[in-house]
Amino acid sequence: MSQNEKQSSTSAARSIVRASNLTKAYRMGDSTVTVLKSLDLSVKVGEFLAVEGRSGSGKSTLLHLLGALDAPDEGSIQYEARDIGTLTPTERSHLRNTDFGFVFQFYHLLPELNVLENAMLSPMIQHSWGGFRAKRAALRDKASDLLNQLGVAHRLTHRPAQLSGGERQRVAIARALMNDPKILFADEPTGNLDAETGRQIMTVLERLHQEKGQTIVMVTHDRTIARQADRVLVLKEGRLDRSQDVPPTPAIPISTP
Amino acid sequence: MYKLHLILKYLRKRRIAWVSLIAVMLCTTMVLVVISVMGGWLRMFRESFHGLSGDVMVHGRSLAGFPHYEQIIESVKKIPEVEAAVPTLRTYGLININNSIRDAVQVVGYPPDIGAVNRFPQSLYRQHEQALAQRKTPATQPSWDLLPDVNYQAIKPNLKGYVPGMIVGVGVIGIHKNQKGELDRPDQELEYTSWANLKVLGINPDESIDPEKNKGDRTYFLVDDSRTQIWQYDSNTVYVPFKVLQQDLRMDGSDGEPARASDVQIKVRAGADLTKTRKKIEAMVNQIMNVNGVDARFPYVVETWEESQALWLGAIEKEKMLVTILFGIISIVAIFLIFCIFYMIVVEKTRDIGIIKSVGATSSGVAGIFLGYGLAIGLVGAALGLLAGWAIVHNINWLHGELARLTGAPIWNPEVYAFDTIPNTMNPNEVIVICGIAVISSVLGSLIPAARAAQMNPIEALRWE
Repeated sequence: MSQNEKQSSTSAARSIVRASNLTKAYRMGDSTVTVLKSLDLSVKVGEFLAVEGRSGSGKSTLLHLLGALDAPDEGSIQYEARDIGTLTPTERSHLRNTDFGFVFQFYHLLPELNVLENAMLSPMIQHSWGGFRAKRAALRDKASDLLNQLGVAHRLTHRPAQLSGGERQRVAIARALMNDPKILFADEPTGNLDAETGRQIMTVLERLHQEKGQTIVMVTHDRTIARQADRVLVLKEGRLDRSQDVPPTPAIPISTP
Repeated sequence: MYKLHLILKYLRKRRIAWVSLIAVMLCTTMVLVVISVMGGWLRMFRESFHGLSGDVMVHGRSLAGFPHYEQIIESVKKIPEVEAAVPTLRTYGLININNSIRDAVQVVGYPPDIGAVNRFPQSLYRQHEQALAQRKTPATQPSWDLLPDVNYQAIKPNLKGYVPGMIVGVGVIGIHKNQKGELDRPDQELEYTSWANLKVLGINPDESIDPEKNKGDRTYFLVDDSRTQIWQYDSNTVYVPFKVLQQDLRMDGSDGEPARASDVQIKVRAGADLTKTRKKIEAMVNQIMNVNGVDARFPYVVETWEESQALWLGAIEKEKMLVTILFGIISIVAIFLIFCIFYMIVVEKTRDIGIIKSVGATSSGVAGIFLGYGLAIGLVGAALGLLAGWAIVHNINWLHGELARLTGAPIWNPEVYAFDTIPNTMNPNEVIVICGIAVISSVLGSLIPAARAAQMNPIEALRWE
């Protein structure tokens, strides 16, 4: 698919997530801090959206709301024509397990599990004991394959503590992709990595987007990183600063043959 | 699936959880050992007491006994629930064995058919235990006959007339358990060639001591020894033929009163209601006594074997309950320990809980991990506790012997605890209940931490430092 074709298909695509009038405030002692203020946002199928903002701008909160990890005080989030706010906690958990994938700044791997087990956490949660056992071999192959594609196949039996930061983030990406999520949420995925490793992780995300059409919503404080997305929205004091929006641009080929 | 996986991982990798596991194990072991020993003690008491008395007893409250016992036996045997009834005698006496043992003893007179109502024949060494060891059929009734291959004339040349045999409690002739828990049995030749002079205490019905009844003593030859395992019997009781003792006490009618017995032991058929049968017997005995105009000089009571030992059995039952409560309270400490450790684990694992929730685990799933973790600790702790408890209870007499050897101070004194052996069996029902409580306690200890983990907001949990 050429870049122009991709771009046109992206712009024509339907929204997978639509947030309207999102407001979220936190109590800090006696005062209330409003983190998000009447925010409207829409993410299209197959889009790589970056939300750029400084520390405390509310970008992580926005990601958590979109990913059904938290609930807004006001406003609603439509995910595939379903209002997330009307879902029960169990339905939201199920959504996070089957439809969403999360990549965090601090990787958040379980220290007691090895690389392969960490990668298989989502299907482990999804399936019953019997169901998992029945699919175990296939899931194992899938996890190994993903870890192989991400370049950490030689670390399958290692624990997170034995891995470098970049390797941990690759394992976290593998875990997020295991259940073929419709949206991958990435919260400062390179924030804890050195520049070179950060670039490698971005390459992984871009390849996912370009080769597999993965919908990605990424928040970052780093403008250079954000610019690698299809579309960049700038979040400032809880509102989207439309004056700084970066329109969808043809993605720069990440590798040249 | 992830719950089981994480529980197993946490169980193996979180060493702090081993502390709670050890706490559960130690509590289980402790309670199992205490309950088994106390319960075993109670059981041994019941079995031994029951083994030495009939199911129901007509019990004379005075050493002078009560009359018309033959009529009572005949009538009582007609009650359909009654299988057998046998008279017995008991008094006190002074004994001299081979001029080497001189002691005050309890003297019991048993008729030859005593085996029909109690397990006395099974307590005999020569006639039962040795016969079994030699693959001979053990006697169902005791015999006081002199041994055929012993030259009694050579032992006591001046004896004339009938010389009866005597069966002595093992403790009377100094047979004790050694530190290995085995009976230190003297040379049998010596034992069964011993004579014993016995002077019995005869009491008149008005409870005065009759000089006529206490004139001389009688010579016996030891023909067997009895180990009922109740130390208060084994250490100071001698058993002689009923008729001989009755004659010596002048309770055979020669003192102008009707012939008397101290007790009538009655065997009730299996399955019959003991209390109802006791009431029937009591009515019958009262009637016989009334018809014969028996007066208050011959007080008696009709009671079941449990009633006759109620004081002892009640005391032990209360002691067992008291010890169980005390150790139960100590075990509550284990619940708190698990609670504290689990609370610590939940705090320590806060971020993991956030991760698991962000990947789609439900609150109940997260609670399930910690409840399952508590359950696993309870199960493993109870299983290890059961193993350790079994090992201790099974080898408790050996352990006690070794401890006594090392410290020089035996804890189990047979004179205090009535038995010469510490009970070493476990009651399966008690094991199930104790292990069950251990498992439930562990789950209870993890309940609040699990609820806290379940209620955690994934975002706050992920931000936890």
